[in-house]
Amino acid sequence: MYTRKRLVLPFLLPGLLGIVLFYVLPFFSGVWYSVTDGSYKNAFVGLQNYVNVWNNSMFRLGLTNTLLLSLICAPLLWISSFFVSLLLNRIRPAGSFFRSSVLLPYLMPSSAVLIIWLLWFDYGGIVNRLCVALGLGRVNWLDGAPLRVPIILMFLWKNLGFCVIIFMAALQAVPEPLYEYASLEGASFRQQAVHITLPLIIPSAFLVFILAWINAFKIFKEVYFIGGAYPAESVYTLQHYMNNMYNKLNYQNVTTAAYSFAVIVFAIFGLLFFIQNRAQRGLN
Amino acid sequence: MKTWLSAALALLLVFCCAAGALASAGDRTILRPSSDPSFGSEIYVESAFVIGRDIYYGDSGSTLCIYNLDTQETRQLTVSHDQPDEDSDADDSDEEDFDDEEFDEEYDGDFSGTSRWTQIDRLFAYDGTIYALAHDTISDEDGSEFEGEYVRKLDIVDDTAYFVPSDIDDLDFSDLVSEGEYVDMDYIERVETVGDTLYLLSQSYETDMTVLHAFDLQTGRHDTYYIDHINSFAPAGEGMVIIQQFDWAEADTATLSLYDLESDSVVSEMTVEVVNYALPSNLCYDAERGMLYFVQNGEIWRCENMDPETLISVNEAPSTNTGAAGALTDDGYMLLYNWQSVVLRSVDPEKRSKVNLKAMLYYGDTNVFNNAYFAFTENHGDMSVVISRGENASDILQAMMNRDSTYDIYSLSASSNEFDTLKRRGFLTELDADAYIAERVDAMWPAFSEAMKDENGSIIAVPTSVYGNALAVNTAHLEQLGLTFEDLPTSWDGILDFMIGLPELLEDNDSLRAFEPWYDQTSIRTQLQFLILRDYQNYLGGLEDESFQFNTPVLQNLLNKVEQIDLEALGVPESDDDEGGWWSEDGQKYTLFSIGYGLTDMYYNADDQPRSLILSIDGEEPKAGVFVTVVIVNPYSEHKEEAMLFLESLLDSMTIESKYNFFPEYDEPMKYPGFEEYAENLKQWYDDAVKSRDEADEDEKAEWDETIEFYQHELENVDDSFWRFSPQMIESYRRDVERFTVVTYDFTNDVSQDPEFETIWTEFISGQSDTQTFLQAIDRKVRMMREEGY
Repeated sequence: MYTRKRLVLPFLLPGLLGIVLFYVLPFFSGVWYSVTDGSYKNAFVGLQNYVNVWNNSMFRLGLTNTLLLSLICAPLLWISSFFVSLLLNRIRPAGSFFRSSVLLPYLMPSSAVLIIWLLWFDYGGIVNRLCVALGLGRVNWLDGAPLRVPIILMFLWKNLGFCVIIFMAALQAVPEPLYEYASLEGASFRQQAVHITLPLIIPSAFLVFILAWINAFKIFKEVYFIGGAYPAESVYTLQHYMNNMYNKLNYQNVTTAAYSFAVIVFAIFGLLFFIQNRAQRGLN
Repeated sequence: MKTWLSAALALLLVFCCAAGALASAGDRTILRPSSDPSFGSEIYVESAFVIGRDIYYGDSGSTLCIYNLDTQETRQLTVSHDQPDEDSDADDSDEEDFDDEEFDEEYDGDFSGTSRWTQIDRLFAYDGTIYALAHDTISDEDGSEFEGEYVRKLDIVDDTAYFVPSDIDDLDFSDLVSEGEYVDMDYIERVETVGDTLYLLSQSYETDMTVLHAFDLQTGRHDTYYIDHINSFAPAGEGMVIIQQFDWAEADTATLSLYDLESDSVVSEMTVEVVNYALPSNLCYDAERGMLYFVQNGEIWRCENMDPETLISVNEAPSTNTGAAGALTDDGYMLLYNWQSVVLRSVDPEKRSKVNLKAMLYYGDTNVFNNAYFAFTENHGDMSVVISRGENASDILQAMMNRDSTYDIYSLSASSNEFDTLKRRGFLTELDADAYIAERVDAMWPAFSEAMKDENGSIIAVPTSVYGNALAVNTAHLEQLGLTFEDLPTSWDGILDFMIGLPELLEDNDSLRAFEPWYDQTSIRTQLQFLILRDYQNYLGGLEDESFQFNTPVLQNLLNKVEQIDLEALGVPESDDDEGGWWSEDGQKYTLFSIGYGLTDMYYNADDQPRSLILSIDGEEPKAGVFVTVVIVNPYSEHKEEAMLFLESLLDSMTIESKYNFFPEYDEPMKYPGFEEYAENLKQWYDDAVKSRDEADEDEKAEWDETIEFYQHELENVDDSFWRFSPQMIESYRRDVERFTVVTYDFTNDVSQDPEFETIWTEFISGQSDTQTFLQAIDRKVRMMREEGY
């Protein structure tokens, strides 16, 4: 099945070179930065940077917010994209139109989209008018804790399409007769989804979950556009901390924070892979 | 054998060193700016030309100089507007000048309010000599009459330059005349000649269009070229010009084109990037070798056959008159000039100095750097300095991250985030190794000396200028209210209470106003709030505990009190458009408080001299924050020692006002130049007035009495006039400087850098948000910044 031809190496070399130059080397040089004091003289300080960063309340705030946002956004995205893909899979004809449309938000530039969201969630915007119409009070959506709501909604709106596409590819691989048999046996839509669809698309579902988490960790751009380098505390993310440290030439703190976060992410994804493996074995 | 070899090696060594010395000897400074830029130079350089081995420079108004490249001597000529055989003492407005039938007919012999003068518009070089474009203007209350543009020729008699009628008289300049209420010649940007063709770039006052003209000096033929966005040109051989086009609306690239005038088309072109409106200027084209030269960002660039791939920097150039042309001498040097300097720079890259320092100014006065540039290059002929201006100071942080050694020296504000970051992170070269810098910095007032050092006491920057402002009160006017300076409170709280009670105090006083007449209500409140916030930050910095809060009862109280001052009752207009200002009735009153008193300004006005009010926030020792421009050496520079030598020149080249600001040793009162001449003249005018009065008719004596009384008053006070640094100002400054503190980081900088801060500040000063909301927003941001750490 595998070839050991040496001819393979020259073909792999450019890609390997790129990976080494742009990923491996920066990774290790980053480790070096995280154990030096980052000044012009760059003295070695051991793990002192890690101690300082973990003792910093703003780092902890950013980390907490990032994890919290991802805990909210990733499952929400997963669930909504799963059900949307189920629905889209059933729409015939013109299903392809909706399938293409759902991907559009993913392709649109964030800064252009943000202007529209800012108008909607402005104090006098559509959302507040809707709240007033429903008998609720106006909310300052663009400041403080409520800012999480438009951020989460924006995240869902933007990333839904991509996840739906992955789910749909997996759904189309599920044999149609299984649904027919289940319908004949009297299974409802929900029972079919949970007992037929979900077990058969676990690898894709897991992929969507991972992607959702990764994208949730990267929530920053929209918050930065709205709140600047120092937004409301509820939406101050780890990326804000790293960005601000970068602007202060404090790249040892940037690398320390990044590697600390990387360890946490590896741990989370390690756990998810473990769960996925166990679930797959159970089903098999 | 060994002896011969040693001798040969020694000779080789000598020639190499000599070559190195000779390589930079060609660059020379023919005229440099005055070391005191406040007064400019005696000679104003409007144009400069190379004619053979002579360089002519100066202006058509008063002085023309001829510098010989071989003898290196300068001959200075006085420009006369008379003809060589005319009596120079004759009154230009003598009736004989108007002995013109048509003129007499029109004006019926009544010359009141009418004047006539000859204006030399521009000089140009042609056929080995200097010519002038000139016109006459006859002006009266109804308008002006333009009389002919004509060409005159330079004639030197003894040491006087005359412009005599020339044999070039067929040129029709009527297209260059703007007609409106006042008829005048269009502004002529540049004049050049190639062969018998005179090229001229003019800007119309009427249409604002820039037009290229070509005149045949022999036949009088005139051609006009309308080229979009043309800013500058240089001749490029017969029928060809190099043009520089720049669209001010787009502002990021300029186009240089080789333009064929006969076919009215572009032969070849290239674009150059433009940063901070630094256009390629001083265009010069060597048609024989197809070389284009221009100056941009402090360097001379060379390009072969308009091919951008061949563009290289060949030498540095001082700040030049961007409207001027370049000119090449026959031995490969480029003549460059601005209003106060004339230099020659080699265009051979092989002759370039081995050490080329580059300075980037994000902040600060270019004149100080230019002065230092000339002093440095005169004393260090083997080094050159390129001075550029940058737009975005945050680029320096990127440069540090990239370990970029492009620039050796940076100039920035000591209160900027960038300087604060560099200082905290240790990205500033220690300058203690330079004994002169160390000695001069230690000789400064403690506030400045300490601010130039890091936490270890090492010198990491040198200052070049300082400014600061404060509230001030005019003590002489205060006495009208029965108060002395000592009666005034020394805290912000007290002064604001005093201002709140001012309407009552000034109710019965018709000669005093509270504030200067050019401020409206918003600007007064904004300025007071700014001063309070700045002083509050100084106050926080001095607190022993770590709290750094703005939303405190102390600050809230002060900002609220600013709102309580009844500015309307004090006669302050609501906005700039409202009645107010010098022309209003209120404008003629005396001012009590100066809102923007310059703590570091040294000018003196005996009649109206405020005294600064440096106030405390909450009982602490009051301090006044001042803003300093600093110069640092890039830690990644490959020429740190040389850069420090340039910093020495900077310290010596700062303005005399800055020297008085920074150094305690500058404590001698000083008069402005020309004081003695003025005092003598004043005495003479007084004596003449007395004599005239004695000879005058009875009905004119009263008028002369008034004049004599005026001169008498001036004479009595002459010793108190013409002060540049008066004893009173020196005493006042030395009293205040003890309480200065250099503002090292001011959150209000974020107003311009952080959009959210700007929004918070704008909403507050416009009244859209209240004090508490404003302070809470500031607190949140500042607290997060401090908790993040550095």
